Amino acid sequence: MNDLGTRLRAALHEEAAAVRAPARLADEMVFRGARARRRRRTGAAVAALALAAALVPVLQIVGGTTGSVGPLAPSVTRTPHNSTAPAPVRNPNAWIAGLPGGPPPAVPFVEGMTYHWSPRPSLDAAYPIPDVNTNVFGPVHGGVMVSLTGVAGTFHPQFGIASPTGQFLRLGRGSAYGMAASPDGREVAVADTRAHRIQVYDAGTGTPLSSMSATDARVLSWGPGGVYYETGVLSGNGNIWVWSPGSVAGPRTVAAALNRHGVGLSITISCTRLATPDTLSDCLPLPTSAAGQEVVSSDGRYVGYIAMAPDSDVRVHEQRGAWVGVLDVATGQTTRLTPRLPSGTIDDRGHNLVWGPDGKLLFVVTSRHGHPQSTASMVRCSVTGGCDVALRDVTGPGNDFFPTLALTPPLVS
Amino acid sequence: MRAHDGEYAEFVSARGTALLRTAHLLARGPADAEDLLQTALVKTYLSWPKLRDVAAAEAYTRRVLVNTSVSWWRLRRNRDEQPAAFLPDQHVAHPAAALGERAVMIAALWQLSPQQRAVLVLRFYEDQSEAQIAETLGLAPGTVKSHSSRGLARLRELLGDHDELTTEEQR
Repeated sequence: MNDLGTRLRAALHEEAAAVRAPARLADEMVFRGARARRRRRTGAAVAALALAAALVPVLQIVGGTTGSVGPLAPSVTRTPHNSTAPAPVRNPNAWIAGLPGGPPPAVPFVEGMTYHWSPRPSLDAAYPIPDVNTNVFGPVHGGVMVSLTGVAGTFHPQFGIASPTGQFLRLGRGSAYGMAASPDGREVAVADTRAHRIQVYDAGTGTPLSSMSATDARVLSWGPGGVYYETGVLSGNGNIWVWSPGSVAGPRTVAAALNRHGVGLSITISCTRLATPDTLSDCLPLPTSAAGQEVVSSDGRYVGYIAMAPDSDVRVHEQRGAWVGVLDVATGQTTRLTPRLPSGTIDDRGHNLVWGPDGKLLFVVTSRHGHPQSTASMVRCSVTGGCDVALRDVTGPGNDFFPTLALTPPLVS
Repeated sequence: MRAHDGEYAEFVSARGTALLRTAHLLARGPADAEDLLQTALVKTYLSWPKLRDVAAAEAYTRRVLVNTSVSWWRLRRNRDEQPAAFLPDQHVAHPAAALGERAVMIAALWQLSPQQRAVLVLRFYEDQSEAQIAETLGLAPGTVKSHSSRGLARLRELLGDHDELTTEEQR
C-alpha cells in the first residue's frame, strides 16, 4: 500500500511537472470571463432563442420529417424498426436469375482454389484452402489468413497464412474466431479461442508481437484506430472494443469511432446503438436478431447488414431466412435491399458483406438450396435499391461452398 | 475592465501552471486539460467578487476542476468514445514498446472510475486529507475513504498484472 502510494505520488508529480501554462493565460481568461459575464446578462434572451432553435429539429423528428435516402428502386422497401419480417421467397434461384449481369467484383475474393486480387492477375493455389473445414479471412502480406477447423483423426485445428505458392505459415493451434490484417498488411490480429487471447503476429515470420486476454472475442477488423473486436455476443451483452497493440492504453468501448468519419456502432442482441459526433447515442433496433455482419460505408453514412427474422417471428431456425438491408445513419431509416431468402442462402458467417469501391454492397448468395451440388453467385446492390450479379453460378468444391470476400483492400507486395 | 480584473489576472498568472497540472491529471489529454482549466477559471472569474482571498479562489477553482472533470466524463460516457470504467481484458505491452513506470501508472489510473481517479489525484498529488477531499468533492468522508481504498485496490490489481508480465518478459 505504502509502496503503491509512493509510486503513485512519484508518477503523478513526474507527469505533472512537464506541464506548463500557456503564455498570456491570464489575459485570455480575463477576456473569456468578461465575455461569459456579458452572456450571462443576456442569458434569458439567449436561452429563449436556444430553446426555439432546439425545438424546431425536435419537432421535425417527432413529426417524422427526417431526411431522405434518395429515390428507391421499386423492388425495395423501407422497413420501420421492429417491422414484421416478410415471408421468404420460395425459389432464390429465380430471384438471382432475374437480376441483370454486372461487372466482375472489384474486391478481393477467394473462389475455390483461386485468389482474385484485382488488379493483380489471379493465382491458383496449390494448397487446398477453401473447403468445408476452412475459414478464410482475407488477404495479408504473403498470402491469405485462414483458420483450419480440423478433421477428426487427421489434423488438429490451426490457423495461419496460406500463400498462393502452397506454403502454410502456422501462427498457432486451435481455432481462430476472426483474423484481421493491419492496415499495412504486415501484422495479423487473431482471436485465439483456445488461449482466450487476441494475439498479434508478424505476418512475415509468424513471430508473436503482443497480446491481450479476451474471452469469447471475435476480431472484426483492423483500422487506423486499432484492432476492433467484439465480445459478449453469446451472453447477450455484445459490445465492440478497439485496442491499439503496442500502446499504453487498454481497450476502449466504441460508440463513435468505428471508421475514420467517426460513425460507429455497438451491437447488442436487441438493438444496434449508433452515435455520431453530433448526436447522442440512440438505440436503433434493426430488424435483426443475429447482428454481427454490420459494415460501415467508407463515407460513414450507411451501415449495411444481414438481417435475420427475429426469433419471435419464426421459431424454427431453418425457416427464419435472411435479407440484406442498409441503415441510413443520418435519418435512422432502414431499407431492405433483397427479398427474404431461405435460411442458408445468404452466408451469414463472417466476412460475407463488403462495400465495393463504387459504394455498393457485395455479398454471396448460394443457389444450393435444394440442390446436391453447391453453386454460388456474388450479388451487388445499391443503397437505393437495384441489384446485379457480379459473379454468377460459380461451382465450388463442396456442398458448403461460398466464395470468400475479403475485408481488406488489395495489398501491393 | 472590472475593478477585480487585476486581482484575478494576478491569481491566474501565479497559480495557472499549478492548476493546469491538476487539470492534466484529471483530463484526457492536453486539449481536454486546457478546456477544463478554462471552464473552471471562467467560473472563478464570475464568482470572483464573492471570493475573499486568493486561497479561497484556488480552492474554489480546484473544486470546479474536479467536479467538472467528473461530469464531463459522465457526459462523454453517453455520447463519445468510452473509456472503460473497468477493463474486461488485461493489456499486454508490445515488446517493442518499453513502458516507463510513469506511463504505466498513468494508463492504469485511467482505468479507474472518475471519482476514484479524482480522489487519488487529490490525495497523492495535491496531498489533501480525506476531510479536504470530501469538502472539495462534496462527498461524505466515508465515501471518499471508500473511493480511495477501492481505487488503490484496482490500481494494485492492474499494476500487478503488468509487473508480472514485465518480469516474465525480462527473464
